[in-house]
Amino acid sequence: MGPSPSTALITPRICESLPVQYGKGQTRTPRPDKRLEGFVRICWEGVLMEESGQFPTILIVEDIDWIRSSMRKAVEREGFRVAEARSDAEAFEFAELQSIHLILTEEELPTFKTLMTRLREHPTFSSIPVVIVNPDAEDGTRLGEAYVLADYADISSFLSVLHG
Amino acid sequence: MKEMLTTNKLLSRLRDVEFARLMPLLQPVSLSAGERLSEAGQAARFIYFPESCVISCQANMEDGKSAEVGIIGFEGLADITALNGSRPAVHSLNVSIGGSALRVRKDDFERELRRSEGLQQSLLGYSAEYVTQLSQRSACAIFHQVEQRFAVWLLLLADRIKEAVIQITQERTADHLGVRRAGVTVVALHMQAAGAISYKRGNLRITNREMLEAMACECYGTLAVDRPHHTTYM
Repeated sequence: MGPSPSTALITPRICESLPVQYGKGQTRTPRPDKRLEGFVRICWEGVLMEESGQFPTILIVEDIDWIRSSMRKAVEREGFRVAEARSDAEAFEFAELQSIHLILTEEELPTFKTLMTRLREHPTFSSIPVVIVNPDAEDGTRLGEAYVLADYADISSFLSVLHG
Repeated sequence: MKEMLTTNKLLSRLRDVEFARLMPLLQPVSLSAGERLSEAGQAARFIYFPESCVISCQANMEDGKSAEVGIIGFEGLADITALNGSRPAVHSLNVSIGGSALRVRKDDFERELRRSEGLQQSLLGYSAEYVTQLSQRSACAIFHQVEQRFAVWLLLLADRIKEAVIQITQERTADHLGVRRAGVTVVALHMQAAGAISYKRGNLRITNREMLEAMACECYGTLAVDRPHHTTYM
């Protein structure tokens, strides 16, 4: 049974105390995040969603299985919905079907340059921010048009800044 | 006496007469992290006896990928495979952790080696240790996960520098482990969340050695040299 925004409105304060279902039956309680002003989180029957009724989705583009799986766990810990793609082609297939708030990838992905070029040239997807996590990078570092963050935990504040 | 002149175990365990013959040939050098000491395909000019530095023997592939195949600290010399006449080296030598070392011209060292039975015995013992390291790490790379290998590698480095703080970036760590930088990042952040390490821009601190040992695979037990008696850094 899917959530209904009209009946699902519970205050974020209550949401913070409810357990949320993630991935393969993992349950955890999302931690309060005052920085996430752009996304008022509403919880209903264990589902995390935006005020607009859309799920905040992060698409991980990574070709190596264990790295992609580890990235997924790290991002899910931050309370985001996660989708996975192994290449730029898979990423675009997914983006055609569902809205994406952020793409998480890495600079050594064999199709990284193609991914960035295709995104830049796409009429709709060019606004999707691309993020790389690298703890060695200085704050505010960019890799081409990709943003570089020091930790997966910084994604929430990054999105809140990006969405004003 | 010898212990006052060098902290390199291989040298300090030589008999006085053998050490005295070798000492005038040894030149103290300060090595920087990331410095390349020798290239694959070239004959080595020097033999290095690490004191506080750590040297990595690296295999470099044609596509630019690399991985550490051997680690050499105060317990040994770099590189024992160079003592093979004038044949070119198969691997390169890089400094993982900067610090002091003593170096000797390879020709001079080989001349001393030919006439010193004690030096030959000492090198024979170290060769066995080094081959054990290489073979165990080969098996480790096949059977064990990156997090386990990363934990072992950090412990091996910490034991050699005798400190909990290791100056190394994740990009260089990736080169040592033969994995992508992003793979090191996810593993390091997981170890940090668990409380075993902390990491900030090239400064890695082992915050809970006991936990790190628990994250390591059984290979650490075989590879450990001078494992500290304590399990938690202050």
